Amino acid sequence: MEPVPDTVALAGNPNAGKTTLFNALCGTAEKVGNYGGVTVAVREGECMSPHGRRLRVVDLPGCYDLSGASPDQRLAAEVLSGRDPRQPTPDLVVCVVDASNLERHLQLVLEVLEFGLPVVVALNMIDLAERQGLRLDPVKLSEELGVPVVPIQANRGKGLVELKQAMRHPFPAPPQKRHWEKGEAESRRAFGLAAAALAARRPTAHSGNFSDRLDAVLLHPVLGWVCFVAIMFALFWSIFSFAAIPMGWIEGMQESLVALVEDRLGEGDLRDLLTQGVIGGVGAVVVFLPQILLLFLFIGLLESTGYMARAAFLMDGVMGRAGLSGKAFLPLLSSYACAIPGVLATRTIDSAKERLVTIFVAPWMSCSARLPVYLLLVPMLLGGSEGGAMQALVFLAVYAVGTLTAFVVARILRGRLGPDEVKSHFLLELPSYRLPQWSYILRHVLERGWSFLKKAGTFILAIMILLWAASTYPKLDSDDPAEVLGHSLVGRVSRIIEPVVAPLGFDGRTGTAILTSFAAREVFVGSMAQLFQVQESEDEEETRGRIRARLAAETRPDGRPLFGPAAVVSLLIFYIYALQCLPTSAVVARESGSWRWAAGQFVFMMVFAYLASLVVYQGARFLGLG
Amino acid sequence: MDPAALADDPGNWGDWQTWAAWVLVAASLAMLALRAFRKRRRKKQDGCGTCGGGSCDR
Repeated sequence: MEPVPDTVALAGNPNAGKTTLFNALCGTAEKVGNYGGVTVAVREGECMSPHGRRLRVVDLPGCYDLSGASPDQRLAAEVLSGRDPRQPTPDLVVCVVDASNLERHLQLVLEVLEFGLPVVVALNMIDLAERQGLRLDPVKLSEELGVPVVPIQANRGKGLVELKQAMRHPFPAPPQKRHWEKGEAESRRAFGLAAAALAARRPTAHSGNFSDRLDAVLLHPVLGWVCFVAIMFALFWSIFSFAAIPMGWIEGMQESLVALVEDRLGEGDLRDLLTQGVIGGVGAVVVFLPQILLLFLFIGLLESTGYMARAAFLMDGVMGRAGLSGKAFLPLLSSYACAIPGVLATRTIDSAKERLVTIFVAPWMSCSARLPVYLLLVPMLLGGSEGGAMQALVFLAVYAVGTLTAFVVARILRGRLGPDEVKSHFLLELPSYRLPQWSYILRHVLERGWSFLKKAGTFILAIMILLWAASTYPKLDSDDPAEVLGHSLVGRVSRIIEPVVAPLGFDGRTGTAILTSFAAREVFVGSMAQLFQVQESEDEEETRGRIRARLAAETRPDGRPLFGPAAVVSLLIFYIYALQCLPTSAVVARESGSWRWAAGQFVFMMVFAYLASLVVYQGARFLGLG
Repeated sequence: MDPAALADDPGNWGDWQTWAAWVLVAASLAMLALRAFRKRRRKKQDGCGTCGGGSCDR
């Protein structure tokens, strides 16, 4: 029988490189970032010791102390003390510390030593420490702490063999328990500072290094914000500009595929399903793949270089005005990719009330599923002919609208929930700037792209096929596509929905497309491509593959364009605010511990989206802009 | 059934396509049901599965 593998826990401060080490040891590709708080749950993996013994590795959430004020600190403390029923007590703890910031990181190591478990210290980021002119003495540090110390550089895999040697059986004996005199925390702090001073000697004269000089600009109260807006603008501008060429290739491939199917198959249902449902519907979503890849590439670059931590620093003041602490920044930032990890990341927030408020507003940070919808609508607003710069500005505004509304609502809600029993303290570490970890970024971007394609090729494909059936059956023997659609199931549903969405400027088909996007927001684009292609099939040669042109050509019964500026802005506003993601509601219910909170959030956001769209559309019409 | 003969007869060809289209519709429904089942199983196994995989980083 195979022996039960020993459990090795990775502990350390946020941004010490625990997850990077976890990935290097276990050969996984979990998310890492050059800022703290990326891990908020326990991750598990396996690796082999030098003697071929299986080791179970658990990556604990990063924390500055183990007092247990916030859920992530409690989790780490429970695992280390063996009180977590889901995890066995670790047989060995590997404390990961940032060699360039030993003073702070040793405080947690000293707390971990008090659990009486075998400990190995992994002295990470030695390259960075050396670049800062620090002279490290791992042997001295080992003598001071009474446990083995191994210098490593986890992102390059340096020192891993030596670390695994230190992780082999028999594990080092647990260090002797220290008896602190006077105040425990104060004595521990003094000991940590003295040990750090012995193990990492600083150059006598501290001259400002590259990171300090760059921070003088990027963290400046005025220049910092100018740089922040410029970086965000450049990010969105490049998404529109660089992606145009590969998007053209995808559209070209789509058109060739339609031509091929039409060439091979005679007229009939299968041909319609393949051209309109499969190629038209799924293709309309897949065409945005280059832009999504670019967005994640740039976000990866900002995270990896260390700029995201600076953005958090800048935002701390804004968060304060919204009644939130800087700890809410990372969950909100994560929500731009997907609200689910964002809601999970609120576990780092100590105050229960602040956590609830952050969970409540997190879905208003525009997630990547909204991206295809914005990418379709923003150029329509500008007539499709404007340059990348104008589109980038509107894009920036779309993201800003969601974010600012979230802050305003957070402030109101925070005031209503009353003061806290636990005050939330935000300790932000500004990591040194680093060169990007290209291999990790590219792998992450490819994973994101693959997951997007997989979703388009499975879930969205299935929805598109069902939507095609619903917009085709029951069949009507007529040559007029509008009549055929009107007779179908979708046509009937559209007639029911139309009175509800008409005040927002939408017709029944758009209402139906919105309804389908409750399955996944991206589905909206494919649904629009399908539902409006039926109408336009008479001149499909001219408009095929150009969904925007098709939508722009649509008119209302009174001859006005169906998608005039007022209707497009109204649609954008609806998508910024509507909570059309049931998995997010499920996670909110679990994390807040209340279905009522999740249901309240859903109803509030849907009503808010509806009313905001209504005001925008009717206001624009009143001013003669529609 | 000879495909060439079918191609010459638009009516039959159309019928054949209707059947094929409905097979794809049924397969789509089956795929969605299987996806929901897998998600449920994953949630039971490791307590996650809320996003069906791929959306979040877990």
